[in-house]
Formats: sequence, C-alpha cells, structure tokens
Amino acid sequence: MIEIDNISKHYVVDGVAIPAISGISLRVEAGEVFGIIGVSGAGKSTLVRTLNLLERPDSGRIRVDGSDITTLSKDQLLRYRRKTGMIFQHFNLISAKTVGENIRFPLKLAGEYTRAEMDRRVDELLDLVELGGHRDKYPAQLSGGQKQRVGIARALANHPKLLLCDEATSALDPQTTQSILSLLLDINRRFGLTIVLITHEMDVIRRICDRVAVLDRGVLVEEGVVADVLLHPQHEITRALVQESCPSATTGQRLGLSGPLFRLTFLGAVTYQPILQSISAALDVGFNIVEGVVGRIKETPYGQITVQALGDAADPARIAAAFGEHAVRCEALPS
Amino acid sequence: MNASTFNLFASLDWSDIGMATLETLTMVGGSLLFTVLLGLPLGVVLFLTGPRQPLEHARLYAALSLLVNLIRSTPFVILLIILIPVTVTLIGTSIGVPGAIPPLVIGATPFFARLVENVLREVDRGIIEASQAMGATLPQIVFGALLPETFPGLLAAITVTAITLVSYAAMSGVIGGGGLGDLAIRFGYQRFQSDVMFVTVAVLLLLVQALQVFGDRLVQRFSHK
Repeated sequence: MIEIDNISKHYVVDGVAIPAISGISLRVEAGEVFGIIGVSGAGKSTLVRTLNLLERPDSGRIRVDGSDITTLSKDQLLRYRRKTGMIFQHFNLISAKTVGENIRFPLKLAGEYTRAEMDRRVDELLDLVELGGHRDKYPAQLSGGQKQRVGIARALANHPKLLLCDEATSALDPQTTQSILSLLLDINRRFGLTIVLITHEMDVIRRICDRVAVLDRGVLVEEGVVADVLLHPQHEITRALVQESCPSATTGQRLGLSGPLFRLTFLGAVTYQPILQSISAALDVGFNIVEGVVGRIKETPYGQITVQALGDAADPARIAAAFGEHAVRCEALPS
Repeated sequence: MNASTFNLFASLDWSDIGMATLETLTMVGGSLLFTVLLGLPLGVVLFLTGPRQPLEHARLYAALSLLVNLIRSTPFVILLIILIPVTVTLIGTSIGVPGAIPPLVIGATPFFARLVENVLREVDRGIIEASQAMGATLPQIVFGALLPETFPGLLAAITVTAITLVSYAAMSGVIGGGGLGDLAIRFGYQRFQSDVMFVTVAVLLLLVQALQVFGDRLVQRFSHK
C-alpha cells in the first residue's frame, strides 16, 4: 500500500543543516499495523509526517496505492489528506467545540455530506469509540483516554484507508493505553484499515503491530516481523529498546552463573508444551531456569527463557539439537 | 458636608453630562465596530505571515509590523492632530462625534490587531497541524479552527480595546471631538469647574468598569478550556 523510496529530510537550525531522516526505504502492506520505534530525536515523527506531507521530504518518493504523493497538486493533496486519518499524542482537539462538533469538522471539510448525513455519521463514530453519551460535552470535560477516542473518531470520519498515529498513547496511563490499543486493533480488523504508528514504547509494538521498523538518528537500522525483531534484535539500539522487558545476551555475566547457559525461544503453540521437561528426561540433563518471560506478541504466544544446564551429560551440541527438533530456538550464551 | 456636596454639584447641568455620555458611547461603539472589522483581518494576516506560521512571509510581516508599531508608538494626541486632513477627506469634517471616529479607528486598529495576533499565537500548534492533516484549506483552518478556538480570547481583546477607546475618545475632546472629554476640557479645565471634571471622570470610570465586567462575563460564557 505504501512504498517509501529513499526519502531524506533535513531541518535548518541556526543556519546549520541537521538531517532528520536519511535515505529511508520501507514498504507497508495494506491492512497491516506497522510500527516505527526509536528513541526521541530518532526521526520517527518526521517520518510519519511525510506520509501525509505535513513534512515534505527533500528527496525520494512516497507511493501510496501506486501514486506518488509528493507530486500531487494542491487539490489532490487536500483530497488525499481527507482520506488519511491521523491521531496525535496530545489529541489536538478544538477545545471550543463539543465532541460532536470536533468529529463533524472533517466531515464539513469534505463538503460532501448533508446535515442529516453528518449527524448520523457522528453518532455512528461515537458508538464506535464507545462515547455514546458524550456528544455535547467539551474536550475539557473528558479524560485523556476519552479525548484520544474523540481523536480516533475524528480521524475515521471520512472513511480513511490509512491511519497515522503519532505517539497516540504516550500521554496516557498504562491502563488507558491498553484500551486505546485494543480499539486501534479492533478498527484495524473490522475495517481492514492500514495503521502506521510511531512510538518509543516497545510494549505498543508488542501489543498491536505486525511488523516494525527501528529508527536511529534518522536511519532505518532494523526492520521485520515483530516477533523476530523483538526476540532476536540485531542492532544495538533495538537491543536497548527491547532490553527493558526481555532477557539479554549478557545474562550469564550479570548473574555470575557458571555452567552452560542457553537462551531458549518458544514461538507459537510450542510455548505451552512441556518441552523442557521432555528433553530433560530424554538427555538426562537438569535445567535451571534463571531468567525469562512468557507472554504474547500480538496474538502469538511466545516464551524466552535462559536456562542453566546441569549434569554430566550437558553437551551443548546435543541440547541444541534436541530443542531444534521441537522448533525451539536454542542459543548457547557465553558464560 | 452634605450641604457643601450639594452646593458643589448645584451648578451642574446634568443634561449636558447625559448628552456627553451618549456621545462618548456613540464614539466608542462606532469606532469599536470599525476597529474590529479592520483589526481582526489585520491581526490574522500578522499571525499567518509570522515566523513558522502557515503563510510565513518575512518581508510582509516586517512591513505590517512596522506600520503597526509606527501608529502605536505615536502618542494618540499627536495622531489626532496629524490625522485631521485625513478625517476631513474621509467624512468632510474633523470635529464632533463623526470627526472623532476615523482617528479613533486608525489609532485603535493596530493595537487590536496586535492583540489578535497574540491571541492566535497562543493556540496550540497541534490544532493547526491536525486541521492540515484533515485536509483543511487555509480559510477552513482560520474560520473552522483558529477563530472558534480563540473566540474567548478575542472577546477579551475586544474588551481591552473598548476600554482603550473610552480613554482615546475622551482625548479626542482636545480637537473638538465631543463627548465627555470635550466637556471635561471646556468646563472642567478651561473654566475651572472642578465639579464637571469630577463627574466626567466618575462617569468614565463607571463606563470602563461596566465594559470590563460585561466583557469578562462574555469571556466566561464562551470559555470551555
């Protein structure tokens, strides 16, 4: 759906050119939830803003459904933007307008609907985001999560095919974040809406993204299916982002453990099978779990644990082969 | 005390004061209307052409800004005198209530425009960005987002401007502008009638007070922050 081809953008600050993003190429497929993660200042905000040309790249092409949006005329760009929703970290609602009027605003801009049609659409959207009774309230009377729901309803008003999310949950508490993420995932499934989101929180990527790109100082350093990137991060920056919630490769040194250490990665149905026990019995090796996490990446169960192999028969090659047979990835860690 | 107070106001012609108050109200009302009609667009253009704004235009902004500062830095009494020929060209006379309105408008418009610019600058940039992302044209951003969002702030700016116009209108008495200022100068100053001076100031104070209270109520009524 989106093909980003070698785009760059720089800003001039006090007469000095500062690159924001450099030579980024990406593909986003229709219907997927694509996450872009990076620390602040990595250029993710600039990148997502190029997708509706709030930021115009200095060079490169961005094709959406086959047509290059950087060459659109003024009118075409307005029409494209009306079909591309966007939500923001600070919601950006108009405080002088009621919830209903805020949602109505993009409908008015489109100029294609009668009053009655707009009223009906506003009610429909309010139901969708579960704010049925709040139509005549002002944004100041709503909680952060409710404001973001209004933002989502407003972004969806003109039936967009693409939704851009700029740190949409960063100003929300963890519980509200979960409910907003569930809503986004629900919308993605029900309407086949493509979502591109940027975040600095790995948990957001883990919860709803299909694929992820990692940005560091304006450069794309890693990209792939979320489970791969999360469980086997290649780039140092990715490891740093993942580390907060995943076991690291330096566990052995950190815990001061001797003896062969292995990191086992379970993905999918194997996560809930008693593989550790069966291999322990088959090889006559004891396993001491020293660290680990079991959870879900989007809907896929996964587990990643670090074990210490105990016993005379603890031969790394045999152990790795045994786990390999069960489709469990096994890496020997330096001890 | 009571008797002397009574005596002090004994020679006052209350109908003169009533008439002068009415004239002042007319001058303030009329000039406020034109000030808002001219100053609001000027303020919007100042804002839009300012640094990092949607229509950023350094030279136009600098030129408008200079014009605004030029008028604002000229003492209003001087401006009144300088503008006499302009007023005569515009409406045929430079005295009385009608003669006072053009200089009042010209004096207050830059002031109001600057207030408008400041009010608009207070709007969160995110609101402009969100409107752009929704595919709003510039007029749609101005009329659909910026002006509604700043409506209470604009009401406050109009209140401040109205109060400024009350004092400007009084000053226009110097060049024969009519109203309370005229009364204060002719009777209070030139004929040493302190009672007229006192009552004039009291009426002006009441007027300013009433405008402020009314303005604040309106701002309160439309504020949803």
